[in-house]
Formats: sequence, C-alpha cells, structure tokens
Amino acid sequence: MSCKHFDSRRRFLRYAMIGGIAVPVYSSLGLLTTAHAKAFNFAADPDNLTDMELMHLPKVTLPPVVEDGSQAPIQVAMDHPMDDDHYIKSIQIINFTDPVQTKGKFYFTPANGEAFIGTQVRLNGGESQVWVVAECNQHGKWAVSQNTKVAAGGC
Amino acid sequence: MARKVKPPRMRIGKRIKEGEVFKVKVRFEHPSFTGLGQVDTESDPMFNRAIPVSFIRNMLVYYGDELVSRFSMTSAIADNPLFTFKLKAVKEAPVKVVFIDNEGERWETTGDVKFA
Repeated sequence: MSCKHFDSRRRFLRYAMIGGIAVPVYSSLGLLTTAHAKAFNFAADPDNLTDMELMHLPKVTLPPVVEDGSQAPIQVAMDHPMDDDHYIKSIQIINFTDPVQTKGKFYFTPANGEAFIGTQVRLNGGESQVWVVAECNQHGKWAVSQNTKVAAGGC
Repeated sequence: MARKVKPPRMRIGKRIKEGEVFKVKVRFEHPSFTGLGQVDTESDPMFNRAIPVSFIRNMLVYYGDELVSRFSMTSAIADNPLFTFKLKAVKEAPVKVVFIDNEGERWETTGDVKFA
C-alpha cells in the first residue's frame, strides 16, 4: 500500500469521525428539520387560518372510515385564483405508511379555472394519514393532512 | 393476469355558460394493481412483487389544441377510476382526454363544449 493511499485513508477516517460527531449535533439543534420544514408551508394555527393559508391550503374530502382500501375516494379543492401570473401548479397526494407512497401528481394551468381533482386511490389497511401538497407558482408548497381508518387494505 | 380494459367515457355538462368553470368527469375501466403481495400478515407489513404491476401512468387533458392538465399517477390509483376535474369555458371546442398506461398503451375520449 502506498504512503499516499495510507494518507488519504487516514484523512478519510478523520473526516468520518468529525462527521460522526457533527451530524448528530447539527440534527439535535433542529437545523435539519427546520431546513426541511422550510420547503413546505403548514397551517400555523388550524383553528385560526390567515387569508394566505385559506387561499393556499388544499381542502381535502376523505371519509374518516374507508371500508375498501382499494377504492378510497378523495377530492381536493382549492380557493386559489388561477390567474396567468398566480396559480396552483400542482396537487400531490401522498401516504407515507403505504408501500406505494405517492398516489399521483396532478398538474394544472390557469386554463383550468379552478384547481380541483376527484379520484379514488389505494390505501393500506389501518390508520392512515394522507398528505396533500399544493404548489403555488408564487408562494411554494402548502401541505395538509387528513386522517382516515381503512378497514380492508387495498395495496 | 388478463387485463379487461374498456374505452374511457367522458361526461360534460350541457348548460355551460361562457366564462364559467365547469366540471368534467372521465371514467376509465382499466385495472390497476400495485403487484405487491403481503409476505407475512402477522409481523409488520412486508411486501414483495407478487404479480406484474399495471396502472394508468399519465392522463393528458386538451381543451381545443391546448394541453391544460397533466395527471401523473402511480400504481396506487384505484381500479377503474373516475376522475373529476374543472375547466374554464373560454371557447367552444372539444375536450380530449388521453390516457397512457405503464405499458405505453394509449386510449382517448372526447367531449364537446357548447355554450348554452
């Protein structure tokens, strides 16, 4: 083994050790979670929504109990204008506890007049928290979740 | 598994006024399955690939010649789904919906927007 190679290995181990300490410290300060959270906007107070939140948070209709997880009806509506320079670009439906997490991403244009989608998705059995993310072309991504209980899993 | 696919059907309201937002419903009888099977029902859910996957990958909505919406889906969409979406009635023109499944097969359905 060459001296140069040995040197780079030693350097790698030193960096790995520094990284091994730095990453948990960085995470424990909440910096990673803050950075991730900044990618999405949530309702600060769900009982007292601001005008901005009312406009950007998707209104999700999902039954509290779904009998057949292979046919879970979901409807997403928005009270957002669909102007040429300010509109909802997309709506995404996700359930992180399912084997297939993303159900679909639905892209819109101002020609839609209203960002609205109704469809049926597959949900795994048990308690589910379905997330809906709406993306505004000016104000980023806005996420809400809806809980449901699935009697017979459909995945 | 044999796939039973029927051509998609579209429903558009008949009393559409110029400038209003109207609903379009499209039913497509296409099987959709994740292809996943549960390995062990007693422990935490564990899945493996049991059968080939089948689903509608894309749905494209044209109003006149313009592509107004694109729906990109996964195998977690239900069997024979009914899609509902909205359009703004700005012109009398056909609405065409094109479906493309994960095997690249293509189906389409068309409806006319006529002002009342």
